[in-house]
Amino acid sequence: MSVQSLSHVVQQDMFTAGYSDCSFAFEFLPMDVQSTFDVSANFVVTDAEKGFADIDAIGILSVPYAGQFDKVFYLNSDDTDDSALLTGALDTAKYGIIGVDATDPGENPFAKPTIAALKYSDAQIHSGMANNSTEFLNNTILKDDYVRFTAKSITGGYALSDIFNNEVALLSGVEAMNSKFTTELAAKMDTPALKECYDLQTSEGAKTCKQLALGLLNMATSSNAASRARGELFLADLAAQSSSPEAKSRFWIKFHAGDMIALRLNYLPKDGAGSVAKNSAGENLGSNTIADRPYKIYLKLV
Amino acid sequence: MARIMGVTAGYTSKSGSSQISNTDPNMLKDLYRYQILYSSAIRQMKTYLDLYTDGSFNELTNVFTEKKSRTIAETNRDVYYYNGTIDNLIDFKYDPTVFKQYKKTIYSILTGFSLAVKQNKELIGTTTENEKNKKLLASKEDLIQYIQTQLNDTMMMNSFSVSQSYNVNATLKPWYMKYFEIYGPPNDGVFNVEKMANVVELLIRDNIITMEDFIQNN
Repeated sequence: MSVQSLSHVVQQDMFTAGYSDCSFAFEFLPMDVQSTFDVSANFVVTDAEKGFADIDAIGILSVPYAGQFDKVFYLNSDDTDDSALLTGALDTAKYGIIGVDATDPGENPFAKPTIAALKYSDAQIHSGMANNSTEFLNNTILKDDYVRFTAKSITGGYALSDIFNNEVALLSGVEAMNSKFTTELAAKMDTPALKECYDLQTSEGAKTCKQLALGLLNMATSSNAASRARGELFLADLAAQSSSPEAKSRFWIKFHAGDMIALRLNYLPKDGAGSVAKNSAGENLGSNTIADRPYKIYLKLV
Repeated sequence: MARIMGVTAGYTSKSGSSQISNTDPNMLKDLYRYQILYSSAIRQMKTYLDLYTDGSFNELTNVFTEKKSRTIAETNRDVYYYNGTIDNLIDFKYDPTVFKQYKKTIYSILTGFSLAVKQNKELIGTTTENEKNKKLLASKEDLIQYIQTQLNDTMMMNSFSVSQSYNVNATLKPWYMKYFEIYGPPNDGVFNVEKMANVVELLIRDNIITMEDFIQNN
């Protein structure tokens, strides 16, 4: 029974009068039937949208999640729309990033202190390491990997950083790129074109947000218990943002411990991808070239 | 006490015209043995070792056959080194280049070891990764999770993809820099020990480094 019928929960007399908008009402007892709603509710199956371009290595960095990404992705429901509108495209929900709604403003995660202080150079590399010797398995962080990659590129295969006279400076150089990556990410997230984006045909922000929302929705019906639990948590998050009566239309997609957000960080050699490394005197270090090295870094929310 | 006399060039056996007096015959016999050992076994092995360190595996496979290995092993038997010919130094002619060749062979061995160790580490690393992937393929749940996270990320968009330039110039240690200048980058990332020894000798001669610098900072 819906909430609106609470006034009729208790059994009443078969015949009642005294209403202001009708003379009487009576309950025709034989007219008590039931039927089954036989249409299954399905969430739209997510399209296989392509992800990042090729990457060389994958790393994971733990992030204290505490709501860092909870006001980034949102969906605007349209359940209050006239059903006549539904005869068109099935998918009339809207998806967006951050948004410009002053009453419920979004947040640029890369402008927040916790995320801005992230050290991508400390990400644990899990695959694609420049040197895959067993001694480096499970104990290689990004900055070490990048310097080894540079050594391997210059020598054609010697993937150890002890070839360098200024190893400490090289490692610090990788660390110095952390803040630059964050600044660029913050700037990209702050572009007007990304906010309040609804056009699924042209807006990658809207497409990404839709993938996220529908992916979580589909998890709620997964046969995998852990996936289903996460999907149900997403539904609970939506419910928690609803008020009675159901009028709120913007729902933030909240993140929880265990969720992972991928970034693609591309490290370019000093003189450009495909260049020969030079020392500070401008002399070539051999003749081998150094390619750019893109890492996929998963921010694992903990 | 017997005096050990040096051998001068040009010494030949009793059948030859010149003869060094007061030379320990046992020393000469051993010298003869070393020369035979080099010419019959070590020179050949060095050739194979150099093919290995140069990465010429196809050629190595063709020339270093089981038969060749047995032939070399055969020449290592005592019968070729302890016999009348050696005892009487028949047809012995001192070869002054042999000692240098032995030294070069030491370098080849060291380079070969370096390459073997490097390849073994890579092999173990690759095998470990393969075992991990094998387990992944055998588990439906792990595979689904892998596909979902690695191949179907729903959180990726261009705004999360950024590039930055690395702004530090690399400086090589002096011996690597000189190696590059003279010999270029090493084959397969393994520095040839003999070439490196030459480089170090040059740098020490020019007072750029000391041997301790090389040993302590390598």
